[in-house]
Amino acid sequence: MIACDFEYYAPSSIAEALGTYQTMLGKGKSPVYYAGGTEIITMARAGRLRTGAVIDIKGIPECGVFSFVGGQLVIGAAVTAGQACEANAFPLLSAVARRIADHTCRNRITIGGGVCGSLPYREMALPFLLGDGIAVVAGPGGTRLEPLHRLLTGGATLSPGDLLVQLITDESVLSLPHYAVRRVRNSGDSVGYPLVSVAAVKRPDGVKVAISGLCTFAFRSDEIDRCLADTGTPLATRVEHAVSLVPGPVVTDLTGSSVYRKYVFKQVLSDIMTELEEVGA
Amino acid sequence: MRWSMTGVGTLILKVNGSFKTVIARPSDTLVDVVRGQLQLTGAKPACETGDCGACTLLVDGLPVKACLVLAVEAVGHEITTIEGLPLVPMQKAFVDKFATSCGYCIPGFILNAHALAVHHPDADDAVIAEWLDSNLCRCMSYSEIRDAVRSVLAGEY
Ligand SMILES: Cc1cc2nc3c(=O)[nH]c(=O)nc-3n(C[C@H](O)[C@H](O)[C@H](O)COP(=O)(O)OP(=O)(O)OC[C@H]3O[C@@H](n4cnc5c(N)ncnc54)[C@H](O)[C@@H]3O)c2cc1C
Ligand code: FES
Ligand code: FES
Repeated sequence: MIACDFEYYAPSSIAEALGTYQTMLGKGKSPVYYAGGTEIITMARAGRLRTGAVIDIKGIPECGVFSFVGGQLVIGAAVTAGQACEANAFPLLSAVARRIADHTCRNRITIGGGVCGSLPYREMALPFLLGDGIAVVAGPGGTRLEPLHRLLTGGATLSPGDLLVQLITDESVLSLPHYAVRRVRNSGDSVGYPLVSVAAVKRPDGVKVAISGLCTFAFRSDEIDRCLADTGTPLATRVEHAVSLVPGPVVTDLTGSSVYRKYVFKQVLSDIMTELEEVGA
Repeated sequence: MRWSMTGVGTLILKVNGSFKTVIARPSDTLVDVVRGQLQLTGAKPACETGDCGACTLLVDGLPVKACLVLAVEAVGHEITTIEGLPLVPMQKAFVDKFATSCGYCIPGFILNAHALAVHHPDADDAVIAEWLDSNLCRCMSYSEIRDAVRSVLAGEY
């Protein structure tokens, strides 16, 4: 049972959602946009989230879009991970999303919630980071396009009241050779938050990786990509160097120490490079 | 605004094919409302964090963890609980394969497995494992449950 009370609003347009957010903010209700609700309900029940109003975005048409427009795949923020996997239009997204939570939870967890959630993992963001995904963000100042990379790691974060409406991926990315590996504490590849989760694509100028679980944020790093692309250097040396380029402290928690995480990360990187460097070689 | 709910109020939910009136807060979860007000107690509130699947219900034919759905969100959707499932092959298979020990997890497993049989009648072992990963069984009946699901998909019922 959720101990706190909140109001529920189901707007039918972006403008209504933004307006409701501002109205509720003005009334001191600390509103939140509500998509799959899995994180909001879990945190509200645990007393870690207090809100006076949830704004359910699932009835906003733009947030439910899943279509190709002018050579680009447009995915609405309220599309569920399950729907994205079934459609399988973006194979790397399917590969990553298929391992988030479990099948039943994926019928609720949304693409937008997976990218905007407050937990550090944000594995859903990995395919979009690798695909140079563009976020369509609606806010009080209008609608803008932001590279997802900048939103997550480059300082152009969502402001309070900003609504992630869609993610846009160029069609050319969808067919790139790809590989995704995630390691959890106990059971190989099964359900559970990841110790390390890495997704990768092979582009003409080398393998690119996006990483979750290692730091307190999901990220992609040009330095790591450049290091891995230096095929004149032995793979083991590149992998060792890549670990030193991780852009933040490596997490130590109950699932694993930072030393263990780095060890697992090295194994995962080696597996990915071995797999993808052979493609088309 | 499609609609809103600002305090305790009446909701009309379509449960097992009939419309039911319940009184709820906007922050009440579907599992609590279905159990507490409709006395449909097959779905169990166990972990309440989305991990165990004991609270699984079908919403528009898809399994969801009802501890992670607000009752207010379910308005306008078809909710199926274990009590509303007509005798389907999956139930008989669970009995025949001795898939039930204490039975606590079974309503969730059966609803999930039934949905799998409906949506993916040709599911291979990998797809079966992917769907069944959503539910935990403290009695460790996993292999019997998997056998029951396989037997239904193999057309034995
Ligand atoms: C059982 C379980 C297992 C999980 N396992 C994993 C895992 O293995 N890996 C992983 O990475 N994550 C995992 N998660 C976390 C999950 O991906 C996140 O909690 C995600 O936020 C859930 O998406 P949602 O649609 O339910 O979000 P909600 O609960 O609706 O929202 C989450 C947050 O995002 C904000 N938000 C949602 N949509 C938007 C939007 N369009 N614009 C702006 N803000 C928005 C909300 O305001 C809220 O703050 C798990 C969650 C559960 C419940
Ligand atoms: S009670 Fe809902 S998943 Fe455990
Ligand atoms: S039969 Fe007892 S928990 Fe599954």
